[in-house]
Amino acid sequence: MNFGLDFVPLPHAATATEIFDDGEFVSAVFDERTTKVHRLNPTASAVWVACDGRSSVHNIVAVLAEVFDLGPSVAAHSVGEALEVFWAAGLLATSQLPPEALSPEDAPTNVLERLHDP
Amino acid sequence: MSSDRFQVGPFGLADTVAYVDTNDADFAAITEWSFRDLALDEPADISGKTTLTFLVIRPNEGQDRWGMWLNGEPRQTMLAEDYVLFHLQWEFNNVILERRHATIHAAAIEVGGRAFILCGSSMSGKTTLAGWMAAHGAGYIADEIVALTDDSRAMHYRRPLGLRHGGPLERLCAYPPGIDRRFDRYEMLAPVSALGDPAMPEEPLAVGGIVFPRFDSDSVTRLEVVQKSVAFERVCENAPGIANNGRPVFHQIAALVREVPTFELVTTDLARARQLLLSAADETTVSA
Repeated sequence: MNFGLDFVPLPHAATATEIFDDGEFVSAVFDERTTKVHRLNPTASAVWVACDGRSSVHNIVAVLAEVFDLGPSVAAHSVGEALEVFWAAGLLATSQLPPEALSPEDAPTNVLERLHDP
Repeated sequence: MSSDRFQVGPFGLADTVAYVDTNDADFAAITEWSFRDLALDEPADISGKTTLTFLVIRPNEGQDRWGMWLNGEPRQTMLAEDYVLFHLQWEFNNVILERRHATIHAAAIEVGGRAFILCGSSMSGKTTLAGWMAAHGAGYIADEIVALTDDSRAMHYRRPLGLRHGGPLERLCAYPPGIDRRFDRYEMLAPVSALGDPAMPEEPLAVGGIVFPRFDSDSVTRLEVVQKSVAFERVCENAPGIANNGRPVFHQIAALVREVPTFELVTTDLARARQLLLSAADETTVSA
């Protein structure tokens, strides 16, 4: 799945989140459709928490870069990876996806490529 | 088929009262012994409760499959003789799972007036640890299923322990005279009261800690703190209440995990494991 910079990810309504402070913040995401609990590492947790339905991928990359003191390309890579995981696990609401992202015929620009080569 | 009928019970299963009717005197005897810690006093404990009647029928001469019915509905009609007692226990478990909301696949013991939940998958050693603790001074709350009240106190479910033949608990427990071993050939279903005289708290108890036992014969017995997120993940993996009841239980268990100490207890030496668990219980009492 490719996510555009303007994409605004939103957790699926069937998910619930708990955050634990283990020195770093770690999230557990429950999907009531599968009854599965996904434990996210600190970076993925930060991305997940930033998926608030208002922030675009571009915003999330900026937040991650600031919070973890990362360069933009590293932050973009981490956000892209995390979103791929969330998407594959069905944790994101599909209704928020831009039309081109839902169409397999199109090849929307990968967020990583766009950030690496704006 | 014998026309004799033997009734055993009543047993307390959550908010229900269960009776076992059978046409086999030996099965009635082992059921009465194995499940005696679940027994209720009539009539005081049973008024106003839903009644469940398990009918367990020995087959006719020349047939070898037993049958089980619950309130007249067939549950299993092809049970091997050496599995009937275990299937009855499985049915009891299901009653608890259906009627309790927040449930965890775990055992629970009482130390210092608080419940310590021993959580883990099958073969992790939680039953053995719970039995050993109960045989050596701890109170017994539950095995296999720990149900939590809405304010996360642990409720009792005093089902018998499955003791593996040759295991460390079997030598602490003797069959009473007249019990027919054909019903538990592979594992002994022993009431915890047969392991000693442990306290069996009636009221739900506040949870003092969550312990993840892990039997490892190649390791040293030790108690280690488990990070909260890891502990939560492990409890979730063993929490039918989350699968059955969804996000309210997910949030309830998360709050409990945050609130109480969480440990892994690697066990090779049960006596040493008991000491470590008692010490941890003392420390958490002081810090509480």
